[in-house]
Amino acid sequence: MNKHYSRRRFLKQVAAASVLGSVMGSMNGKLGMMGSALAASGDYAGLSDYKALVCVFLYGGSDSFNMFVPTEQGLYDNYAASRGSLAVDRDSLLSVGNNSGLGFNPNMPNTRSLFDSGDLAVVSNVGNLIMPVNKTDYLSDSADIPVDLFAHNHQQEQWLKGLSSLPSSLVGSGWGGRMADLLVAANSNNKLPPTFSMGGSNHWLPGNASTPISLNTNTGLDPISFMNSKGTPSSAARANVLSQILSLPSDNPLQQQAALASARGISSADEIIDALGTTDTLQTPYNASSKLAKQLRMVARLISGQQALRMQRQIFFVGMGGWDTHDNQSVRLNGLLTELD
Amino acid sequence: MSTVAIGHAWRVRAVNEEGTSEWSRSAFTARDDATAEPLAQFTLSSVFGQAPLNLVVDASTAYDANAITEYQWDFAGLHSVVGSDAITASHEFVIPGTYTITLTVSNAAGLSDTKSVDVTVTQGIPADAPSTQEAARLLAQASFGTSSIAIQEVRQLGLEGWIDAQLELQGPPHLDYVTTYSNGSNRDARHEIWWLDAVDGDDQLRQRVAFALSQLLVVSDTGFTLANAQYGVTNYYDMLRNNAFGNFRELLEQVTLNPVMGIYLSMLQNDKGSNFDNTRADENFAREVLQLFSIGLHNLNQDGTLSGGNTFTQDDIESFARVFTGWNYKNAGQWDRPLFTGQDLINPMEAFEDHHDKDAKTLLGGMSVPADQSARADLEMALDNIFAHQNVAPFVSAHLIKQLVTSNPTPEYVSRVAAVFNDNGNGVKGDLGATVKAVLMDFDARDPAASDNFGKLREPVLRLSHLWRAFSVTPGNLSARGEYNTYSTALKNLESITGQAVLRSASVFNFYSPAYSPSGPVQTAQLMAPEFDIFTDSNILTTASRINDQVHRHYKQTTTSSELNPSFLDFGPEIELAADSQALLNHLDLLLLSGGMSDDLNTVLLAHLDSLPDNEAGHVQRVQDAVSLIVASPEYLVQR
Repeated sequence: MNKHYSRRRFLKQVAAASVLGSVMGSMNGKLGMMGSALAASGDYAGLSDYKALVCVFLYGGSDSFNMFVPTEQGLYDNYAASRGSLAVDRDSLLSVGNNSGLGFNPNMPNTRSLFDSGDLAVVSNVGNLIMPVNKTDYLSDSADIPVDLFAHNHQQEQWLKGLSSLPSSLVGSGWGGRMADLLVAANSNNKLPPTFSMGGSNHWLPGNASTPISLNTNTGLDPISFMNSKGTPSSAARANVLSQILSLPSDNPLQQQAALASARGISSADEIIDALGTTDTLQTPYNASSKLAKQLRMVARLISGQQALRMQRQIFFVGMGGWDTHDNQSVRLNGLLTELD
Repeated sequence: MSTVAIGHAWRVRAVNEEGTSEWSRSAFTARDDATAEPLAQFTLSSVFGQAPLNLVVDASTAYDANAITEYQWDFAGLHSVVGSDAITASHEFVIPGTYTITLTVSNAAGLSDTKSVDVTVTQGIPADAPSTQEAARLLAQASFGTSSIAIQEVRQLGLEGWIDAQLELQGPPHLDYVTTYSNGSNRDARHEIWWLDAVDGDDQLRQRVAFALSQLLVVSDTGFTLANAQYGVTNYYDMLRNNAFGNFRELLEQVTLNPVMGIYLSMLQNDKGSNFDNTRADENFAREVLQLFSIGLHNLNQDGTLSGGNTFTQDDIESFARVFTGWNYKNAGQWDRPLFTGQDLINPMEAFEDHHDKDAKTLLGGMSVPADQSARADLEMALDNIFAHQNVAPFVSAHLIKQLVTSNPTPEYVSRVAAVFNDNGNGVKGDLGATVKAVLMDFDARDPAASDNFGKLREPVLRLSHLWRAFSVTPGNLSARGEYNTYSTALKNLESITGQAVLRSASVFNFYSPAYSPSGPVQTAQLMAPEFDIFTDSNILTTASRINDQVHRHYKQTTTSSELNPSFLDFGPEIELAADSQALLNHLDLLLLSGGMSDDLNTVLLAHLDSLPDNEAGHVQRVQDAVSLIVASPEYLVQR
């Protein structure tokens, strides 16, 4: 049986059963290690060590066939024939390992080093397809294919939600969020969710039992000017009145939502500011002009502040845009890969 | 005290406790009572008011050394009053206009003096005018924010009359300002003129609809290429504004041929495919023009509900992609003209027939496009094909309703509006002006007691524009050319702290997805609330902070040198009311909440305001606190 596409083994750990009829293709064992790590700690409460998962999401979808390319001649020829002028030159590929027959795009030397030192693994052939499909099956409508296939926004959403057999509007959570649902018990701080986004609102982090916090890359979260419970007396007085206002009942779900979101933003800011106050001493240099780097820097600060935050398990989302390289791909993709590297 | 000789002029100077003084503006002349004329002077009950205006004039202060023997009043030629005892007189003005009131006084010696004062009478509020609350609610949906003056305008014209008047208005394009103040890469000018116009422009509804269309037919200059194409991006927005009340078919064509859109969705220089090179026509624009700009992915009934099946297949996309080939900058000269060598980003693209796919195509519903047509002919047929689809009416109507009125329209509401889109009453499909009017005049939009699910979260741009309109924003002392600006974050980067700035969404999918449903009460109620997609923790806090900076710090021109640039508000009218906290709240309720403030909210605010001192400084703080707390409240955040 040729390669299956599946997160089933992995997602079994994240209660995908909460969604109707979960169907994902299968993974051929490459994520087994991650799956078993999660399974090993059956009781998530009371963990004393710290782990973080960071998702760097490439909005628009990277042309990953050009990121990690076969160098073995026969396979490479296959690749080059189908890619035409977009094929990466075989001699320029950065080979990995010893005679692995695989190599990274030439713009990714740092990625290659990480792979060679054993700090990076590639999980390939993971995607939204529900089952293997060939052109005949597709044209004859006999295959089970993802809903709204080819629509960028829907396919991205399905990837992040971990389900492609239903319209994504019917799926309320992302698989990062469903992991977080399991891990909530691990954290001493119950005022903050395990999930933090540096990349704004996204479909990966919301869970069934938790809603992610969205931070800005410069300061994390700032209290509201002139309405700060830790500010001047008049500022604190206003903060107090606002808090009363946000507790007033309403029959309108949108107003209720606005009240909850506002209140939560305010209380999260209080939690995070104290923790971040101690952590702006990172040594690693970050590229100030890269939005990706700035997000990762804030993630690093939050990770180094995990003790003050009292969190043992954290899941971060970082976004990098511009990967929907329709035209001029050979130039644009190189630039994007360099920045990512 | 001093004596002044006859014929000499003198002025009065007033000095206050701190030693500040000012001379009187008028000079007085010493008179010789024996030979002088009388002095004509009078007061008026008002010099400005709404019709019908009853004007009372009083000449008690007129003077003669001996006695005034005759008073003669002339009310703009309409009416005269003459008499030796006609010290007062009156006249009722019913027709709006400016009128000159003249008093002539005479004495026994036969000498006389004359004085005239103009009175302005404005149109009155008709007996059947909408209430102030109804006017405010319409303005929240149809303008960039309610102001006291705007409420009066709506009441004078009536809801429908105001909309009809707005449909006739159009302000000048923004391109002139941007070409003057930007070199094409400098991004400030585009946002400066947008905000100046949004706050002060008369064509409020047209601009509001243009803003709504910019979130349907999306381009964004957050990428490098368009960031340096500010003239083109500005012109794209001008094009949306031009077409805001025109026909959707025409709008779709202008969007399709716009070079900035051509760059954004790779239609520009989209070459026909080549079997030899194993290339195909780019499908980016073909897909988005269908999925995002006109018909969506799934077949719809007229009321916007799903009718089953998908609107297009991958084959359809490939056919449309082949239609949209061969287009280039108007001044391209050669096909592969590179970027940034003086290309024309303003005029519609033009076709290179050699690069247009001339094979036959089959479009939606099996419609055939014959072979060997020009690029233009193919394009027209393709746009006609899209425009004929039954989805266009509910798709566009639902978008406009969700942008202006409510995130969860009933299917019946969508259907009524879509019916107008399909036929404006004169057999024309796609009349956006008629559609917009249908959106706003529908009972679902006008009824304030609508369902619990009614309303939409206010967008960050509209929250700021409302604040600026309601409180008469003024440019700061250091503004370069009278432009408005925010404290700490420039308008051109507003999306970095609020999630939204004009034509700066992260992708062609706009700032938020139209079907977004945040987890929580909204999702539980199975509702949509797109604007919550950018109502994230950090955006909530920073947007509130910037608004509070405006209210608590920039409510008057500061003197701190680093803060002379941000614009400042005018709370004058509010401060005058602040001695009576409830009166202040009633005023702000109308201005900010269209009169819908709940009793609970009123109670909380009243208690707080009354705890602030009843002196000048306390009054200022009452206003600031009331404003900033109201605009942070869920009742304000969700426009109803």
